[in-house]
Amino acid sequence: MPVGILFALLIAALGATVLLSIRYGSVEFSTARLIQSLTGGADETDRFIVLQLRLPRAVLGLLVGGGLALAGAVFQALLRNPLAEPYILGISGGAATGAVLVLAAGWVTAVSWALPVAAFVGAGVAISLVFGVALSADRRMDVRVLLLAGVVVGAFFSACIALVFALSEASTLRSAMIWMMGSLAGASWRSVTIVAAYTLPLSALILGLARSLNLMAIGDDTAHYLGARVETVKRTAYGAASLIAAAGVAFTGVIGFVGLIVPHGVRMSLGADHRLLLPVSFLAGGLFLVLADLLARTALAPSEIPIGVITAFVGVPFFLLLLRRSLQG
Amino acid sequence: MIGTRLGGPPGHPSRLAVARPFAARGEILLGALLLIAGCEVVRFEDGASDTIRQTSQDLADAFPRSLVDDSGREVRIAAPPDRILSLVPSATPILMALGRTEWLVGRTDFDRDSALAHLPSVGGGLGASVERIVSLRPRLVIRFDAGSDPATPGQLDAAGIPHLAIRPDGIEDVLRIIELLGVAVAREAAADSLRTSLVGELATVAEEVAGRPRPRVAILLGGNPPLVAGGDTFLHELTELAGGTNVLADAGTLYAPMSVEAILQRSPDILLLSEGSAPPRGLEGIPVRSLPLAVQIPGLDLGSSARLLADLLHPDRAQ
Repeated sequence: MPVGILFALLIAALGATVLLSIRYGSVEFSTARLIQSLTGGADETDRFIVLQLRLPRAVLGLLVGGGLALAGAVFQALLRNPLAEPYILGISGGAATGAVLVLAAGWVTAVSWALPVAAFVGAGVAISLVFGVALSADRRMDVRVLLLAGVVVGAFFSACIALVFALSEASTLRSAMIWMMGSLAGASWRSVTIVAAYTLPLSALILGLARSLNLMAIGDDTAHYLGARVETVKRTAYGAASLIAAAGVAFTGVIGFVGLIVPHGVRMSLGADHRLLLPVSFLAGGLFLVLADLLARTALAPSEIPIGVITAFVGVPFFLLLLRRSLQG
Repeated sequence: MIGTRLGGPPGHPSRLAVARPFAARGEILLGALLLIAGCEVVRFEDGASDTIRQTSQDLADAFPRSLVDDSGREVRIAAPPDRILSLVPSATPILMALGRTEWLVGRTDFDRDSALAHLPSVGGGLGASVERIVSLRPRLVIRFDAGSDPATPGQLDAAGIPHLAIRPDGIEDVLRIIELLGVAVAREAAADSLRTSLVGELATVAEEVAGRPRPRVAILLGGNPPLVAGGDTFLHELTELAGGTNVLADAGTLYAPMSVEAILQRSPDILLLSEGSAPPRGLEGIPVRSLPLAVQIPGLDLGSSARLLADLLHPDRAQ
């Protein structure tokens, strides 16, 4: 399929998904009522539901899903490890520790932005720890050290979370568990703006590194001989991908599987050329997460299922099918 | 009005209240309130007589009013909140007992009262669907003061819906919440009488067990190591009130896991064990009383919960 048509199809599918997700929710809407609320004819409540609850939620899903899938693709390329995912550098553990501490301290009700700030700071601490270790040994960044440090830092933060859980009451535990399964329910235009301010420029930066990432997939030395500034590319790509994941996790909690299965799915279908893999992963990740959120909101309405449950339930069987097909083909 | 009719003067709980089991009395009380609430609605609708116009005018004049909720926020209620959504299942019966059943526009999945069955549900009280909430156009939302749902308060603010956060942890909390809700729905007198009768019920139970030997009690909520109720919990308060001594009162935080040997060391006479859980290994020798789930919710039923606990701790008392 020509690349142009592929992108046109993806973007059309994205548009349709966003429309679906503002059309359906736990409140029944007729299409006429939806159009009225978009054009300003409907009453205040309808307009609020469509423009302040559903639309920012869809846009946030697009940004976070796209960001996570892109970050996953970058980590898999740089670490040359199929198990790499956006949270590999201890980001989810750090963010969750920040969030759980704030929840346990009861600051959430007093200051509404305490939770995303704490989660982002936690992710930042984890990233700096891992980078610090990976850079301390040598001027060059060692991929194996990065991977190990990421896993160990993640384990340390898991222990911190377990300690807080052991000492806190049941309601904290419950809210922390829900946060850790991820949700787009907190979406507002403000959170969309902040996540977009991180995700869009950093994603553009990463897309610009596609050619270098192709070379580095062969090996650092080869890439170096072929003219890639390996160290700069590595640090830029790691840093950018980590920040994208951290911004997403701060506002939506830990949403798993998107960053793992979407880039792999795209790679199995379209090949490993990063000039195609990266932008398609972004679009497909956004599409996947908006659809997953639609299911999370409507499947058991009015209750919401944590979005991590949907991404796993829908993503894993699809991924296993794809994996089997790619092995047979 | 309602206050004087249902409650006695402060400090003198009606003898009727303590002479009968709480459930039966509750029905009478609720029935009476519903009757009065119903009458008032009818009178509002016909709107002809002067006294009625007075009532409706009084209600409108009572607003705007500001109150401080359990999260310490000041909440301003601009007009009579005649469309209320309670996301806290233990607060809903309080609103009903205050005679505001007609004002409820929705419920949660945990509100099982048949009088509310016709109302649309917004899901669980924690993590309820915000768009469902908004679509019911409530003028006041009662919610938990807990971090479980950090997004909802901000979204309600954005929608311009006032919301009152409450935290029903202990006996004092329940009494304060009754008062707070009374102010919010302009039923201070009814709230006063609810408080008075609840305090009276609790005082009666305390009186009945006074002077009896106090069994040493450990309250276990299941798990291994078992989760125990410490000194800041309402289960502790109720146990002490019902004539027991909570030997784990120093357990620190509200509910904390505690090692079996630490429990053994305090030599409890009775284990109050959450309904459906088994005693942990090592504590089998100690007599067990099952703690019904109904007792574990702090709300209007505190009086009957205290009575039930008193019966569990002093089984000879009934005779």
